[in-house]
Amino acid sequence: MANNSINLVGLDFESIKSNLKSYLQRSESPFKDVDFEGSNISNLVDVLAYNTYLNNYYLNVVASEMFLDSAQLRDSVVSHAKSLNYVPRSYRSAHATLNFNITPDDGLQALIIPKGTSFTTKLNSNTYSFVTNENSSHVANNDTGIFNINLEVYEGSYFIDTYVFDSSIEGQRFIISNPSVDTSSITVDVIENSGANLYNYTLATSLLGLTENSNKYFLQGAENNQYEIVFGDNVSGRKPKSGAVIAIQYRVCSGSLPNGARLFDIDGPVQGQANVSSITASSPAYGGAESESLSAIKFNAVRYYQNQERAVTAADYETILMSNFPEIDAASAFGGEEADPPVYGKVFIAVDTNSGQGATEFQKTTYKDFLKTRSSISIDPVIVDPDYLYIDCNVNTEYNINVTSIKSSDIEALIKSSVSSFNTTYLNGFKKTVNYSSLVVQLSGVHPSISTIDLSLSPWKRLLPTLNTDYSTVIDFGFALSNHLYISYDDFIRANIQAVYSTAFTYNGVTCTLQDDNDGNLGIYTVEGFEENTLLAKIGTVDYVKGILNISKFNISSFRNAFIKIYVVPISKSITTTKNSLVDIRDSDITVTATAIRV
Amino acid sequence: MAIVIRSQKFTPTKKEKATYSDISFGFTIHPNTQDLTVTTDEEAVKMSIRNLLLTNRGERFFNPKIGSDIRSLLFENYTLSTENSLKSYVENVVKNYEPRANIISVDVNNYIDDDAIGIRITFSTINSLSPVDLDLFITRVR
Repeated sequence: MANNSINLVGLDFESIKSNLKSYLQRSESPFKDVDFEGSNISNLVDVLAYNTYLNNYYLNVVASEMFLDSAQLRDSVVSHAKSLNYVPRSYRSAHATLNFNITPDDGLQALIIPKGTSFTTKLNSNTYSFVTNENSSHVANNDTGIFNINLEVYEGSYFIDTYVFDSSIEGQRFIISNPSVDTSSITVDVIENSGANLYNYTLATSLLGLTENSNKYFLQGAENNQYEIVFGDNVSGRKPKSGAVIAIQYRVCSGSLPNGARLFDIDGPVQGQANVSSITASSPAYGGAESESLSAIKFNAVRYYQNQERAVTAADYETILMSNFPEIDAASAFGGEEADPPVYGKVFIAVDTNSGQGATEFQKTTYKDFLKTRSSISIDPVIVDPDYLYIDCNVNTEYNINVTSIKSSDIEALIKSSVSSFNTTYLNGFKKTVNYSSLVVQLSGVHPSISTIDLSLSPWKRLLPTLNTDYSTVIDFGFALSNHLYISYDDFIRANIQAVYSTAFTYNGVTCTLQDDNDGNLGIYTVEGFEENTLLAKIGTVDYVKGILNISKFNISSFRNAFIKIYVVPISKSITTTKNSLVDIRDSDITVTATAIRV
Repeated sequence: MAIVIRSQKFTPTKKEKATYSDISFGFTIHPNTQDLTVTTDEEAVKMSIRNLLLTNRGERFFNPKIGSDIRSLLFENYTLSTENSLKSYVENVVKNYEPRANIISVDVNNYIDDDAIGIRITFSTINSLSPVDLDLFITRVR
């Protein structure tokens, strides 16, 4: 049907051409042959449609790049982030603390290890260079004359970009040429009057307090994954004089690749001292990361703008920690008033790092110092370890061998793999819920032959008491417990147990477990012999509503395995973690039994 | 009544509107109306066939099948097989893309001295029985 107006909003050639044809086929059009592919007008319509198609596509891309949400080019996303005063995180060097001794052969008493002193490590057949990031001075031990050195080193190599400041150039740019720069390593020196004056410029994070004499530079994202230095205008920050040499020194690194390196060698003598002992790292290298991904910039830029680099709400603490420390996988902050007992004036932040071992004490101090300058006065940030909640996952399944030829062991492997994938996909981070029905649905779909899934989830926490002393602790599960459930037993776990039960330990020479009595009391009960299930001692209380166990005077002589497992029975089949709890279904805690049936 | 008939007979009838109309190839201006010249009916069909024959496959945007590829034969030795292929190309392209024309005959002549081939296509349009000739003289340009 002919149209009297042209509708050219489509993004495919055929619909544009069809709309143009429709317009040309209107009754008053002098050109009727538009439908015949060989006609001149049809050729012309093809050209018009193609041109329109290209224009529409171009406009669509332009419109898409105009918004942070829809932009796909890194340059566009970085530019949008710039307007929110957000600098995308650059590559970060992995770092490690090295310990070694230098025995001077000339009675040297003081030693300076210069910035850039290089160490080498090998990881996965690749060689990485770690360097010191500042000069450090060391004094020999008075007794032995040996230097006991403890040194922080960062992966990468130092480079310098040099520019000559020319005030006659409007908008002169000082771009750091290497996109793998770790921006936290940048130092900017401005050399004026042919070297007579040297100014060290430092990074400005805001305009607050800047004067025309402030030797400050600003850092912002540039095109092609690069960064650029911006100087002040002699109002907010000092502007270098024309002709000044700008020397930008920075470290270029390999991101996350060297994480985990632990064996280091020094590259040559230090200040002429070649008698260097073997080098040990306090912990494997950590903290290396690639530059911030597009999706991360989109996520963090708006939130950074929201909190203005200040920690006020719990989410602020989490956001600014995660955006500034790439080694943090997940963070969970909660006010002290939520703690039990409440601790006012403190904010607790649980941090899970990609090392898989929680934050080190050094990292905790770094995070705390970082947050302290950004949190409200009188609020004390406290970095706490994540509290791991483990879940034993027991699956009994029946599958129909009439519809499959695979063995029960294969079904078991498929289900194990599915639970493992559920753990990785949905339980990675704080404040997660193990959704019972979702897991059942997922497991039911693992193979078409599966007819029933009987899933049992048993949450537990580790108890690692000091032996032969009155040990006291509080275990907070964070969810309500059921004290009216009857559980079947196995070798280690008592029968007739209620909301709380444990693996076995030895108390006064008797093998026992820890149980509750359905009445809010925790006790040590026997598990063997004629006097099975006899209460030997009361050792605490259970708050079924809050899910908190108070254990006191727990004096035992030994326990099986590396720790005691304290199991609880939650009131709900789905388990939700709060505060600093991290939930984990380990592969070793998954038990699957597949039974073949004929349906 | 007779007067009415005579009146009809001698009154000039309105010129019948063209069935096919296309823009002219050279974008020429009509001297009177100062508008683009319109090519109509048989001439429009002739121009369309000519376009189809001179279009190579893959030339048209998003429609790579249109065209005849007869130019590719210009570099072949002129044999009976080449002549038949040429005829077949012409017939196929008209059959597939020019539904207004019924081909009556395709004659191919070889002009060895001029390094050229002459093609005469005789066809009729679907709304007329009178034959129309289209002569094409194709030659290498380099």
